Amino acid sequence: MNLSEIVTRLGLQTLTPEIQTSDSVSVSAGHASDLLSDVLANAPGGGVLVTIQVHLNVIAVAVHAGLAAVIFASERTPDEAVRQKAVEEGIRLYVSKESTFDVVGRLYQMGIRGHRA
Amino acid sequence: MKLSELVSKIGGRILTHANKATEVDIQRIYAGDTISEILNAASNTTLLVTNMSHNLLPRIAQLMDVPAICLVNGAVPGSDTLTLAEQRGTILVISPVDLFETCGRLYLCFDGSFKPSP
Amino acid sequence: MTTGSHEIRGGDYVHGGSASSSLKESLKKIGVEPADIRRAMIAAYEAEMNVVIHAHNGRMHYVIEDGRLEVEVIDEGPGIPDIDQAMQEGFSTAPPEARDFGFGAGMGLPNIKKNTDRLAIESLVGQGTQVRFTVFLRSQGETGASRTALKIISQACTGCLNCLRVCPTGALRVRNNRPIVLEHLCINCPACVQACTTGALRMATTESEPKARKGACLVVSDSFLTQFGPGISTQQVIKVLSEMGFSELHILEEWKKALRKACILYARENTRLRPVISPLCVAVVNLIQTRFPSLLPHLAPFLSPVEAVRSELGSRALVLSVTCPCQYAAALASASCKDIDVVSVVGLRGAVMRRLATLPREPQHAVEDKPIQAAPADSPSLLEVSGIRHVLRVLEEVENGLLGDVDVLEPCSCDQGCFGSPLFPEDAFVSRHRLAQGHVPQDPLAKAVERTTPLTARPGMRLDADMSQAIDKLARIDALHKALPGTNCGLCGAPSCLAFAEDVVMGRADRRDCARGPHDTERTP
Repeated sequence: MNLSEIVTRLGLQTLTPEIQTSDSVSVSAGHASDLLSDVLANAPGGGVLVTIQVHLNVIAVAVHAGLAAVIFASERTPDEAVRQKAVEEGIRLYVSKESTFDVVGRLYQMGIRGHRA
Repeated sequence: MKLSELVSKIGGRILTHANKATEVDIQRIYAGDTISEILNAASNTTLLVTNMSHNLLPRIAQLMDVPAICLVNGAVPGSDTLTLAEQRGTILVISPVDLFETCGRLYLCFDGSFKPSP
Repeated sequence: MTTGSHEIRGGDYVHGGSASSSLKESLKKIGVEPADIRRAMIAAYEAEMNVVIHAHNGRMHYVIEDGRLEVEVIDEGPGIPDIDQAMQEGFSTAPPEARDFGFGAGMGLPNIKKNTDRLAIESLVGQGTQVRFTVFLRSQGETGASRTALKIISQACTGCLNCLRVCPTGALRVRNNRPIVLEHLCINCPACVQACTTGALRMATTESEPKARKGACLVVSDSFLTQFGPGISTQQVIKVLSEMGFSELHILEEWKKALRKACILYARENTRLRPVISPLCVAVVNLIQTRFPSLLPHLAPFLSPVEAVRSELGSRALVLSVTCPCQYAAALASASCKDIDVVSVVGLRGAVMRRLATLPREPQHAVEDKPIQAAPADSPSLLEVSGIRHVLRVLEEVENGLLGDVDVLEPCSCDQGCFGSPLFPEDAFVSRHRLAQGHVPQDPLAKAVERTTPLTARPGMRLDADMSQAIDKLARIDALHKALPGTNCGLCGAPSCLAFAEDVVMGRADRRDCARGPHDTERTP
């Protein structure tokens, strides 16, 4: 699934418009977690992370895991310092009004999948 | 939806108080790993789904009257967590897949008629 | 009263929460409304785990009394250098191990504030932190009855029974020198506070000085301005209040004026029911809901001044200085936990007195009498009635259709309106006179706010859930009442023989508590 289509269909707010449009970014995997240690260890490269963790370290972890984007759920919005770092590192950030559960559910409906243990 | 039905639909299994699962009605699902948020979202018809599996969870479930917690990645929790859950009457469910996949499957169990999330 | 005290071991994550669990058991045993237990649990658990995460050790102490839960969590730990910063969402100093347990998101203290009705945090770096919070509790199934805003100090009660006699709804009992409030009858008027000479019955607010904060609005009653003796003008008091460090100062008189205008206008537009009753005094509104529900349609559909202030200024931090329990309860009525601090006038008065002492005293001018303006020909007939005994009599007359010639009725439970509050040292008539001589600046924000939810009669306590049982109980109450002496002496601890009969049938009292009269009717089980 195309990242820009995900953004449109989920009605996400784009926090990092400076980063090029995501027409060419394709996403097929997702990860949901608020524990940065877990994201670092388990998030799939090229995947999208759904979380309410808005701490600065989220960006470093996203870079390390090679994530395509981070979607903050429940309207949690990181502060400007975090946003700036994301722009610097090229990590696309989005905000959804819906909860983690609902965002994941809708991504799942579009075909994004998690790991199978 | 009845918890027992939910569990079987997502391919999970029940570790504690399985007999209660048929009586528990789940109307809301909260997925996350932040204690403060879990406290706020908790209710007696909430299913908590989390990456965590530590032994604080049964206490929190009992304090907030949360009937069931779904753990993920197929990892069976430590014996202390199991014991505490038994003692406090909390139903522990294990899903074989990760949180993302578990929530996806749970989401599909509910049709559009009501909101699973608080 | 229920109390509990529990140790909290720092670093002991597994047992963290045990104090909160024990508190939960106490709350369940008393039969508290689940929604209130829930709020209390969130706050208690966050406070308890803060000790586990940050401190060496600590203690949780709680008291449940008079429909209120007071919790104190004290620790020996590093302390908090900047409490305002700690209250910011997202700010956390939790160690890494706490984060693996799901803590450290920086939502703990804000969560406590969100779920409690009052919160106070004190801390000394290098010594420790004290978190104190209050949660108002309702009984399970209780709906609409206002929480009592009275504080009862049983040790001070001498059994004089003055309070029993003055309560307009018979809500008090005194048993073994212990005052008890029947919450379903209490209207939060200050009659018992006024009648009590030993301080056993007080308002629930603390009497400490309010802390001035930038960004916070201070709201005071007009009657407060005249409590400082003859040499101090209202303008001087307003000046002192304005310089205490609050962003805005609002005087309730402007809001009362707005309400009066709105009631007069409402009376003009609705000519059917007379008199229109102004909801100026919350205790009177509660009284109508409890004892005069047939008069509910007479009430003009506006909020009382304190409630209007809360509604209009609720987005700002408010410090409300209240003159009576009903204002206290109205200010803290909802569980939405806006940033409202309710203080009693006693503490604020102390703060103002101190500052006034440093100012030069103004020479006393001979005060010019303001000319009495004759009311214009078409002005409505407005009747002010104050004092709870007068209010009761007048409301009875309204019920009997005897006040149809009055357009607007303004009833207040205290003499001369809020001037007669028992918390004020000055005589009600004197201070009212002083305010008339003084000048209160206009408040552009003052307005009457329309009530969005209609007022309903208080359900009262049902005699029994089963209708046939309830009828049976009524018959027994009637029979017992007839057998009692009927002198309403109060020695049994109830205000009247009828109240005592109900107490016996409902299991609140023993038949033998009546010192006089025959004892063979209604054997106690």
